[in-house]
Amino acid sequence: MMNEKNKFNAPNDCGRKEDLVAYLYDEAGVNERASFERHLDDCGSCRNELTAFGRVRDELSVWQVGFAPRAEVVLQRSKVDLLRELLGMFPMWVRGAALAGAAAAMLLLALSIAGASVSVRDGDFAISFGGAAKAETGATAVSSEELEKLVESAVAKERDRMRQEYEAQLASFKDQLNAEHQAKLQAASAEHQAQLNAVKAGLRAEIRRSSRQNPSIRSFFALDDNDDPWGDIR
Amino acid sequence: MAARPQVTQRKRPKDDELRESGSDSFMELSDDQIIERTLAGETDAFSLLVRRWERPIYGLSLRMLGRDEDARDVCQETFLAAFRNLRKFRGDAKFSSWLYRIALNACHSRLRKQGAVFEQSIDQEDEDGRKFELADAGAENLSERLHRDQRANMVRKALQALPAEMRQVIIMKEYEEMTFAEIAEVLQIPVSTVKSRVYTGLQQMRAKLEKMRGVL
Repeated sequence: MMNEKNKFNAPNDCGRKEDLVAYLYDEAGVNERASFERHLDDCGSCRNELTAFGRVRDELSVWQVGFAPRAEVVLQRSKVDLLRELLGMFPMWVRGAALAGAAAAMLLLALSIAGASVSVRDGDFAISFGGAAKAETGATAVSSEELEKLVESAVAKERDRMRQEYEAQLASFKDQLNAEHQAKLQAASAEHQAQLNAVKAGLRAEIRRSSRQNPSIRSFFALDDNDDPWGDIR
Repeated sequence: MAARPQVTQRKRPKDDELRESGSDSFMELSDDQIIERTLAGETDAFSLLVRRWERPIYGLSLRMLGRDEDARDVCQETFLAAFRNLRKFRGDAKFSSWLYRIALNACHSRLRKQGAVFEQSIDQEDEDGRKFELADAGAENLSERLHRDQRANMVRKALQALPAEMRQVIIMKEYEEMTFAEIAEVLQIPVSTVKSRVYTGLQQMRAKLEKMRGVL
């Protein structure tokens, strides 16, 4: 006789495994569902398995992933994509102007490689190729010695120019300094003289006041009212 | 007449319900629209697909491989491969199916490389794996939390011990809540084969969990 545990684990050999999982996950159609429910009434294995699978599912639900790290995917963009994206940021007319500019630059580059010259004279646009462009320059070759002399001469000229400029600045500074010094000296002298005059006036007034109060002082100085006691030292 | 077992469809907390809900306008764009923009040169748009699918892909990889480090690597490989091959995606299947297939291929490739040492590594990864196992521990007390943690660890071990072909269908069905038809599309196998593998996978899970706990 089969014990309870073995009976519980008995293999399901009724051939309705797929129906069982469809029923378990609620993916059976109406007819399938009804049919399987009728089957369950008679099949102990399926009933037991359905119950056990339900418990397995309960257990499975316990393991949840609480968080996921942010995936860091560094996407390499091609230069063409970057250019396209950059152009996409501007309005259509700017894109058109940029494209026209790029085309013109390419054309000029191609012409320069081909040895051509481009000129605009009197409103006429002209392109000339090859030797003609070179001949117009009229430039002659310069030897390295001549070049060295030219450089030395230029350096000497520049040095002279700088020396003269320095001397002129120095002279100007000297004049400015002298003028400032002279002005300060005059100002100081005038100030000093003014202070001296103020002291003299004060003393004179004091002597007059004292001599009026005390005639002996007046006799001592032997002054009349109009005499200036500081006349000899003035 | 014997009483039928009650099969109720549980609404379990999906992994992606645990994340913050995005309210950005890009959420309104379909995967196909984002792909169209990316292919038109707006490569930054692809990052929207990454944000949208990184959790499911990471969850699938973690449950397939059992290691956070491997899952992160697979996640990155998956999105890089998807970006590089985006022009090859024809839209016959859903983008998510295509992405899952890439991720599963990367997982299988990694499992093959790990080979025999993989089974041994399961027990060594307890510390590493533990942090992913608690879903919503905020309201639980410590004892419940520990109990739940233990159960999650058992599930993880039992799942890791399943053959990869069973494990992947169980993961897609249980955690990604995909239909049998969607799983069949990802694996490019008949729906009946998917059902058969799910059945066998559940049977083996039952046996392993019984062995571990003796309760089921």
